[in-house]
Amino acid sequence: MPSQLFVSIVEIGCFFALIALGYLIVLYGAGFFHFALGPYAMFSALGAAYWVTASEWPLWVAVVAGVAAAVALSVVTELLVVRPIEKRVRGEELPSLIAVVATLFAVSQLAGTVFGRKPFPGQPWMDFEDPIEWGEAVIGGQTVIIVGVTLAIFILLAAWLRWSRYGQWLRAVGENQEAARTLGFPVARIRLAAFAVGGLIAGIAGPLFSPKAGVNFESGLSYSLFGFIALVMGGTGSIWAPLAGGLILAALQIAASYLFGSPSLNYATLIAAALFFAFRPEGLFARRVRH
Amino acid sequence: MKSKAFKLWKSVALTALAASAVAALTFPAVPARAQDKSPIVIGMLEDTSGGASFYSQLTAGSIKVAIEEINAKGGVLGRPLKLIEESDANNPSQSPALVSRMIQNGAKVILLNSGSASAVASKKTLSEQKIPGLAPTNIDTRIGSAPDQEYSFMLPNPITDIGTIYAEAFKKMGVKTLGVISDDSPTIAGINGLLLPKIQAAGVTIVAQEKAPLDANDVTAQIIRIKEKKPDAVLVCSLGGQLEVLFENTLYQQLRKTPRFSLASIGNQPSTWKLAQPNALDGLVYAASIASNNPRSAALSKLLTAKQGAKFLGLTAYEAQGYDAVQLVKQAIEKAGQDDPTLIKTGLEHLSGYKPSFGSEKFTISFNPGKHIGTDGLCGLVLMQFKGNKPGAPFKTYQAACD
Amino acid sequence: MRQGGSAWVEPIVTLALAIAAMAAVHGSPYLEAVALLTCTYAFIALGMYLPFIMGGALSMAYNAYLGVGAYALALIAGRSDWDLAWSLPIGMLIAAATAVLLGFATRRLSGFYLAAVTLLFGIAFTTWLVDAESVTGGSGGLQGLRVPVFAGRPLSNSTLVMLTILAVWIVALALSRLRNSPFGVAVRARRRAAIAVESCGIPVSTLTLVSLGLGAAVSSVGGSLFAVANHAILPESFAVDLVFLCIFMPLLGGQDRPWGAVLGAILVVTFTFQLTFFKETGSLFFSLAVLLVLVIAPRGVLGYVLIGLQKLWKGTRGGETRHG
Repeated sequence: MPSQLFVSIVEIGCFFALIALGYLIVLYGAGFFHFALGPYAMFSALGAAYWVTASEWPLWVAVVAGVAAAVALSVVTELLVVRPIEKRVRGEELPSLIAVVATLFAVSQLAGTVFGRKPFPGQPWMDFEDPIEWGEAVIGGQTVIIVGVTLAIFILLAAWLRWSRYGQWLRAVGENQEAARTLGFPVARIRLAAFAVGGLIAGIAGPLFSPKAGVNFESGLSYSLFGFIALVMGGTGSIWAPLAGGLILAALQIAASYLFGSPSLNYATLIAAALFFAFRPEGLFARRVRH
Repeated sequence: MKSKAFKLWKSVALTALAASAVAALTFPAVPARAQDKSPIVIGMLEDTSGGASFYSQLTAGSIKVAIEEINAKGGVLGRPLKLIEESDANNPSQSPALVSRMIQNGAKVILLNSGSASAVASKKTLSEQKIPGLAPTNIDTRIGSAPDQEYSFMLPNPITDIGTIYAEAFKKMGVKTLGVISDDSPTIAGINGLLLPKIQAAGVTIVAQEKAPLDANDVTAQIIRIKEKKPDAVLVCSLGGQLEVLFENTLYQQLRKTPRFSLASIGNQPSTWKLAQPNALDGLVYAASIASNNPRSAALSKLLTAKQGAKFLGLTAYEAQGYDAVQLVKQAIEKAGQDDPTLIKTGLEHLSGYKPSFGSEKFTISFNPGKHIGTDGLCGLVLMQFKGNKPGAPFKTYQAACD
Repeated sequence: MRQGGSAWVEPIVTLALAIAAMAAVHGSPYLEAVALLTCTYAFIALGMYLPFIMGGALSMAYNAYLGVGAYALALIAGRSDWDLAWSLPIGMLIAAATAVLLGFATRRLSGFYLAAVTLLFGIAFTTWLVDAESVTGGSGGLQGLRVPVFAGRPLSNSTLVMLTILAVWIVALALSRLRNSPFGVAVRARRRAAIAVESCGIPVSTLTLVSLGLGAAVSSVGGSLFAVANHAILPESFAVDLVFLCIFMPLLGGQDRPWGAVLGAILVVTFTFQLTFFKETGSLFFSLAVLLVLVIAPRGVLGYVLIGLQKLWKGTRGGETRHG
């Protein structure tokens, strides 16, 4: 396979990995699949692009504003949607699922209303005059930034989970909220932290990736969906599992496009997801249950 | 004694009746009988948010300028023109209902300013309800051809003309093999169906044909597949916008030395040029419609600069054709003597020798009952070539002749 | 407990409403187009009602089920001499088989997985529609479908509208009856207490798969009608975002009865298409309304209307009727 395609795999894989990481954090802290993360990433990217293009803000201000918006949306979702519903229907998971799907749609429509329905180009974070040539492949400046920021986020988050108070609590709570509450953990605050951090990661991922091909208000759905598949493929056993899952999914998609033509991307994703769901839903790096 | 269930269903019925009363109130009232000074309503089907919005809004802008200009001079038959708009978001399955709605709201003529596929989808509705429709910028030949074309008109050179011109250009350049990359919109599917056979009939072999969805964020795999077939030239068939920028960026990266051709899209969408990577558009040949020797183009350019200020980025086919479409409708209504749709249609069919603001200086537009495609000849098209990321000079190798 | 005579109230009142709807749209091409669109949406909503509202399983491949029915009809109309009615059973079979297969792959996983894999399928289906040009006509779709013959004459649009409204009424009534049948009770119980259902000897996953299949089949009928109404179909009509609106229809309209799904379809089409005030913000308003319903008012419009009127009736009768 031509080396240029590996560059594409790394770029796309990092993006999926970040979204999957967001899912993992919220799963750890609230036992919940945060399907609305994709639109938060989209909102941040679209907002940043809009504020740079139409409002003529400097890039850094726009990106920070986008990230802040993503965090705010995530926190609001937890406080106003997920928490009240989970309280009302203890045990039944369908209402929360519907609610987060409704949120996914609502955030997309909100972005479309506020920023307009036309696609916007992403804004590169740095101006690189000459792309790097590596053998036959050409590596643009934004690609280097994508890889750098992704690794930085993973490393920082791994450190946070291990050494900070909230990070350790997050790992302890996991999916057993009741037990954690009985043991005296501040479950409500931990959940909030999880949602906030999930939103933060998504908020950074959006503007990071959008310079590649732009963003529009409907982009969030595929971000959410592929991020979820990346999470499932990687598994929940390690903080680095989403990175593996993201790269694997990206490799699958690009290889399918290259070998069989562009439509195979969606067929391959469907088949791979169905196979993983049916035979290995715990993913590659499964969380080992302590007996 | 009436049961509780009966009472419940009675209340359901009452609620539903109330709801339908509300619904009825949201329907527009039947338009009042036409009086001397009441506006003549023109409907515009457009795209404000989908894949065709890049060009639809350019056209809409100049349509509105044209209507404003006409109204400032007293309107048509002493009556002002009123524009009503509906956006189908480039989804042709919505177009017939939206056209029906505009007709219900009093439109006597419809300007079809969304994608080609939307115009094709609207033909039947127009012919059933006997309302004439004119497509200012769509190039799908089917719009002006049977079946159901009695009330359907199109203004620009159809895609088959672009096919003829490119086939000649390829012959002159010695291009024998072609790689084609397209988007997956219905408009482009229709256009490719008419364009590619014409090119193949001229002896060019299509060695690679790839597609990308409108929301693709990476097309490297498709471009590499084309690269491996080593075509003499590459043709980009796209609605334009961001996706075409992505195509061109990737082609520049992977196939820099291969001659590149586009349709009428990116070349006519100035807002997208700065989105391309530095120099990525250099050498790209496209079908423009603005010739430097046409005084009407220059005049329109001045008018739009005055009216639109900094938003106006230079005259393209889209603005020119939108403006001309309004002028043609005005003349048709004047010929008809009243705003009766069937008479307006007949009026359109008797327009000839109109000198448009696009194309070469000698280029004309005319319709007749058997000819619903307006262009008289090929020189409504000018092949232009990019220099850097801006249009440079007309393509030296080949130009369509004006007869 | 319902008294014997009241079993006829539901069919009669709803039939009266259906006939009123037919009369209201007759004669206006635009209103007829809106009515057909509403009926298509109603079929999807009703198709979702069984597995989703009753059974608690969220399948998001409804654009595909609709598309299967539509393309079945279009292919039969365009490429064969068969009677167009064959598209109904063929479409229903394919749609049901697909739904069962997808449900089977995720039968031991939480609802999120079913949602994800069915959403992926919905996307892959749209991709396939554009890709498989020789079968589906590609992005250009299939045009110029032959008009079905009904009672010896080509089917006119007005007749089609009436038949479609009637079809919606029949399906909704059937689902309403099904809801109170042993099968329906079991499906509803699975949503609340799967363990209890299992212990009664009814295998939960089979129940779910059957309801998923039936729901898909209902939606595919809507697809066939959509194709007949438009004389042409395009892949764009079956895009995945259709599914979001369709989830919200039964929720907004009211979960208690299938009529809520129909009401939801009317609300969706009105808000996103009809009310010019809302125009582009219609979908946003609509999605916020759904969130509001989920958090605060889970019984939906119809549910609260019925409860409110129940209370009113109870108040005026001095408590004679039993609350339930």
